[in-house]
Amino acid sequence: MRFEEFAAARMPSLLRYAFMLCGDRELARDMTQEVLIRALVKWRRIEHLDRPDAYVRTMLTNEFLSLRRRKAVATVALTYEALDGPAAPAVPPDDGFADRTDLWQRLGTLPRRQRAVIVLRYYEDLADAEIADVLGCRASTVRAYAARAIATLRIAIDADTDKDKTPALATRDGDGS
Amino acid sequence: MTRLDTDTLRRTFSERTEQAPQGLGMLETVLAAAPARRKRRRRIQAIGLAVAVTAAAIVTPLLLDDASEPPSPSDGPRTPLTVTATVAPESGYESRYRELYGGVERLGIEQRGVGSDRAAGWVWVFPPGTFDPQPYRTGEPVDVNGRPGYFVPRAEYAHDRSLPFPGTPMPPSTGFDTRVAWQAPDGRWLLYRSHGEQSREVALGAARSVTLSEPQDARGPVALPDAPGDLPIQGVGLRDEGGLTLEVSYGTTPVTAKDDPAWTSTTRASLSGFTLTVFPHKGLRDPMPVDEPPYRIGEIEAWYTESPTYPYVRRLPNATLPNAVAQPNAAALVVVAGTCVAIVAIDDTRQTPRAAAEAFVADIDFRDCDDPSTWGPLLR
Repeated sequence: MRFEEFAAARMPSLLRYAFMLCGDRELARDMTQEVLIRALVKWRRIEHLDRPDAYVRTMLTNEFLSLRRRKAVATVALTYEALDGPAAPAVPPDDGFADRTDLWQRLGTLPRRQRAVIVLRYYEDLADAEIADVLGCRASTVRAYAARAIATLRIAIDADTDKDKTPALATRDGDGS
Repeated sequence: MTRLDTDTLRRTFSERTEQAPQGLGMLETVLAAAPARRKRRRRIQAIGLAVAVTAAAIVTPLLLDDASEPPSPSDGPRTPLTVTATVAPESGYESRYRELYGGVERLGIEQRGVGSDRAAGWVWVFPPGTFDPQPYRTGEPVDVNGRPGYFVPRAEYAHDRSLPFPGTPMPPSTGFDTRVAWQAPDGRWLLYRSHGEQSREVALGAARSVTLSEPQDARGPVALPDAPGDLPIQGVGLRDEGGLTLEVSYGTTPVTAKDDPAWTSTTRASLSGFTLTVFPHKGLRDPMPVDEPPYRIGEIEAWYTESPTYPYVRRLPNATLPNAVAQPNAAALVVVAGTCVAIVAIDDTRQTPRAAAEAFVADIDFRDCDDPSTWGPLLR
């Protein structure tokens, strides 16, 4: 398969995967472009692999994981609108969308390897063994990352829920006194 | 807060897919950046190799493999005999001209039935990585059949000056036209360029009339053998003006997609081969050449001349003048085969001698030029 054909077929899914990893449109574009340039440079080797797409996805994952080491991410989201951008999905607000938007923000606070595991597991639908291949670790390590990530998210969600409940309880107490 | 479970996580991601960035123009950027990256990579490898040699280290086979040059993504033309673009019949536009060269398709588009001043233009379909959309990004973002594109209401002809123009000098860059550039889902770019300035509505209508499909063999009234000297096909032109005229250019210099899109089938990329033109015999006023009697190549009547002015060819309708530039050592072989006329316009008889041209023509399977139902793929 020629590189152009590969890129034309796989670029949209690579961009989506990059966006799930980093949560930033511009950064996702930069990461994907950088990885495709490197893939083209060694395409002669990549095209003979059984799964060139899996190889390039691993390159993209590594690019994401190495971002922190090479450069600070300059993007700072000031508001939810800024994070969502102009193409925020049109989902009815009473469908738990606000909660999932909050979850999306929380995903961005996870350590990168943990976030990568969550994305690979729940967006790319990979098994733990396949995720281990991508990350170059053991499956048990993947499970540990996933458990830690979900625990972190649950704690954050519970804290939010408690915070939401507190004012209502206070008002009731006040009314009763 | 929603309970954190698998479905919630999956839904959180799936709701965000639409927010992912588009890859518009990214492939072109990647292809443009790769050569410099290869150079840098080789330089680093050379330094690494020097260090390794100094240290008497062993250079691994992997490193050596890395140092080799990967094939350029744009090496060589794709087959010029497949078509993918058509004009939707209900669109109000039609196409009677099609050219294929170096993997690029070009369609002539005209408004259907609006008189002699009807709007017209060309649509090019460029393979992934062979079109630079950068100059068009300043245009108005538009939607072309669900795909993002750019509308440029007034573009100078000079816009294409950076592109080489094979065979002849660049024409004077005066005047303006209207353009629409957009990218297909598979990475190909399409460019509509009007004949003269057009309204937004007409230009976008022309662009939106184009549909892409899976590659199909170009079909015509002949099945072609290999060319003399295994000359490759440079380009194919198909004109349907009450009868199909097929023009196939053979030459040693392949036309690549980077060549000027203004190239037409009557502008040869190089004068080092020959052009085969096939069209229906009906409608010609006279028998073919009148200056001398025909001779026979198998079952077909033939005339041959080495006159640089192509007297036989000049008797044909204007639309069928192939390579009318007279040059030393040029020649023409004209044959009548059933309902078809074929002309082999030879650029240089030292490269394509008469006997080779005659053998080529004798090996062509002629179908019925008047009956499209008999037509098939152009290559045997």
